[in-house]
Amino acid sequence: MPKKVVQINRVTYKYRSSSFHALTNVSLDINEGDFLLLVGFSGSGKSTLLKTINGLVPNFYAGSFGGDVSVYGEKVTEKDTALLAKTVGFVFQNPENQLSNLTIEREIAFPLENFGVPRDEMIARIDEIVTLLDIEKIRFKSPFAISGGEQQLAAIAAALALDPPILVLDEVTAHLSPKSANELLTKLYELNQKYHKTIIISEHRLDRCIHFANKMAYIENGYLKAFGKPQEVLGNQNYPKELLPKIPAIYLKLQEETKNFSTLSKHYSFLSKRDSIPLTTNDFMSIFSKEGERK
Amino acid sequence: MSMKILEYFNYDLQKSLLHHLDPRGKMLFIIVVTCIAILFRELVPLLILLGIIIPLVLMGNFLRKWLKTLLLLLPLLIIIIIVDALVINTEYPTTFAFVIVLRLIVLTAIFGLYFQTVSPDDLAQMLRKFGLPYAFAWAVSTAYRFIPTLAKETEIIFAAQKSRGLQIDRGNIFKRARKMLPLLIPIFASAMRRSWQLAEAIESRGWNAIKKRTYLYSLKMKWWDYLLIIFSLALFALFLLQAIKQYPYPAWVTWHIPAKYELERLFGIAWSWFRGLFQK
Amino acid sequence: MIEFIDVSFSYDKKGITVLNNLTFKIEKGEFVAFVGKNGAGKTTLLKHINGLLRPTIGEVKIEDEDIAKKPLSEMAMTVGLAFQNPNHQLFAETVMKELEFGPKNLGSEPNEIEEKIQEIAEHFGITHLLERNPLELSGGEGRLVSIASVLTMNQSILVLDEPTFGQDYRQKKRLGHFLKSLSEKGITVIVVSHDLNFILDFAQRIIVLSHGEIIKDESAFDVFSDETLLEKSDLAQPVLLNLATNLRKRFDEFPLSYNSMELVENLKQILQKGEK
Repeated sequence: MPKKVVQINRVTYKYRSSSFHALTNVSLDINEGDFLLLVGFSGSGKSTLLKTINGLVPNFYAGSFGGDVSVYGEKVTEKDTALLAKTVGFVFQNPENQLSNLTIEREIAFPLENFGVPRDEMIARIDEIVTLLDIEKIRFKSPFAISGGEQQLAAIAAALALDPPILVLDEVTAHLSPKSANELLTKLYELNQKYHKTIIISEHRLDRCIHFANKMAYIENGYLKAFGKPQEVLGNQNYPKELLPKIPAIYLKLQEETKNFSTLSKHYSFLSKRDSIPLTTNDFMSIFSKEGERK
Repeated sequence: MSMKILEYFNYDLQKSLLHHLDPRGKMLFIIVVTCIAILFRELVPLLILLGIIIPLVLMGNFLRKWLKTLLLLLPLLIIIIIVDALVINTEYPTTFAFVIVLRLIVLTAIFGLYFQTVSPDDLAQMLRKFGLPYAFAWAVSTAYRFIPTLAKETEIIFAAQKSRGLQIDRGNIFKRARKMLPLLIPIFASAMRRSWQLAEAIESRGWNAIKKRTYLYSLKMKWWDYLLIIFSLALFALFLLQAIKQYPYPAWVTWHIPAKYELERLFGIAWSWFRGLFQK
Repeated sequence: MIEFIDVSFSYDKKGITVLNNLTFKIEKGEFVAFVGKNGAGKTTLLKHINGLLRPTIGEVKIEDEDIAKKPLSEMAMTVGLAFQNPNHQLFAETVMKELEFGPKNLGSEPNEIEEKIQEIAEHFGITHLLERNPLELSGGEGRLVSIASVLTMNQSILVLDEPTFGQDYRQKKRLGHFLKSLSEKGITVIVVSHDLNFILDFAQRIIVLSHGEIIKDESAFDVFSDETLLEKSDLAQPVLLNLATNLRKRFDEFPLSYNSMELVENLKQILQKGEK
């Protein structure tokens, strides 16, 4: 029975300076080991939702909060965000504005220092993380002297310092080149599969990470419109066509246009099943490799 | 306007001998040197002081930056010499004017050296050890750390607005002031946004989670630090002694620029020569 | 027409050369994208186009005139440069005033300004934001406004640094279509971008920079078909092109394309053949 680690229960939030609600009645549960992909247009409430997981919303902002959010059984409204850092690591969109120490090494040490971790333990832990994320070459560099991709890796390293079971990432590839973005997302997948971290991530560039996720949530104007397995969400009627990743988009379009082809049911039956939408090139190609060619 | 003057405050990540000294010892030392610089109104002691400071500057790899800063300040220094030499009412105004400038030079040297060799983290820890709350110490050191970043951002903002046609070197005083708005507001807004985002980030990393924080690199006094402290205290004791007892100085200490080279007199000569040109 | 002739540039006298012997021409009305790794010199190059930076060696010519001696205020009439971070530009009380700032500095007529603002606001879908405070807008909206505020200056050359950063799918599409319509009207559009889809959908020509030099200057399709090139410039092969390449291995002569409509059509044809 999968363990529920984050329970978001009927959450409603309105920032004081805003006239409309950022979130309305949002409920979803996240299990241990999930890789949840949160998707939505700009301003749909994704960041706000993510920030409820480590308590930044409502503790750090002024506004009205309804409902509750529990992480490993503890309500976020009853615990300081700083203390929640042991359970939830958070990585923000702007790489530069979340790094403030002299070197990357000190950046990783920072959360450990904040919790009074003894020095030798700190050093061991830092070595561990540097190896895990392969960032030895930037260990002694200043956060301002490295590339955006490296900065985000450093931010992830710092977020992982206390070994939190949950890692939340808010559009972290937004400022990165495609190559750095791919590398980063692959690393997150590794953290999820090999190290059993629960990953909760909001992303625009779905093509790169849709196949990593085992859960997906679509949010629109503060409402949770679809939640479940990626294929389920992508096939959901509420899910906007514009946000479909490329391969699923092609698949669905093709399916629609070949509805009336009679031979398809015999040979390319894949196309008649709606709930096995292919997410990657390989998935897509398997439609054609299973059946024989018909000339 | 050159942002280069802010480079002055940059902590230099290279390790020189001076970097290894504890910031507390160094702080005491510069306080003592400041007192000494102020105590003496004579030229020779200040020149001696400068002679002592220069090797330190070389040791700290600070020479180029210091000279660059002095070059930037040169117009100001010349004005100070001229004005003081003419205006101040002491026995030897020109000598005194040079004394004032020398004090400035000495102080820029040691304060610059201090900021060059003390990292923001060390600064924060030092403030902590002096009993200041962690939040305050952290705020001071972070602000210090972001000075070069803000300076760079100001340049970018300036470039961005210039590309939109902003011209601030035209118009009268009032127009120019209004033109500063497209520069000041983004600078402030950027700084605000940065602070907010940084605050969120450090909060998420457990900032100030518990009272007893540990340190990866902590300040520890070594034997050379104690040596520096003893040396500074001894110097300070001598300084106090002189300040209180006011022992008379030997002649070579009170050497001054001879009266015939007094600026007032020289200007007087130049002025009458100039007037003479018109009377012919 | 923009021309770079043997342009080299370094910030310091003994510093590293950021731009190395760059030579290229961009004709009026072209839509060009500069790509390359971070540090390849893209932003530095952009700043040479509007005169913020002057070459250490070489010439930059606009309409056959060397711009080295031209003051920035004069350059602003011809070249518009939209910076990456909207926070570096937004300052006015209302979005309207923000959009007026540029054209006012250029001394345009009030009714012309008014017209232009309305036109652009409509195209960008920001008419409902005109009375709002630009500093209170969300990230994506703020970016749109900062870009729009450069477009209201009606220049003949537009340079945009990473215009898609912070924008969601809808905003990018709007922006892309608007820029394309401008280039069709004869305005030269130059972007620096990492965004594959954006470049593929809208740019005709891609110039790849590496260590301050041009290593490729081709149409979008040619650049994306070259795998070593993609490596060097931190790009990745577009998903659809990858799919098309795989489909070609399975079905002979499957046309290579990265356009989703074309792909669907081509696949449909294959499936129709199977029907017979």
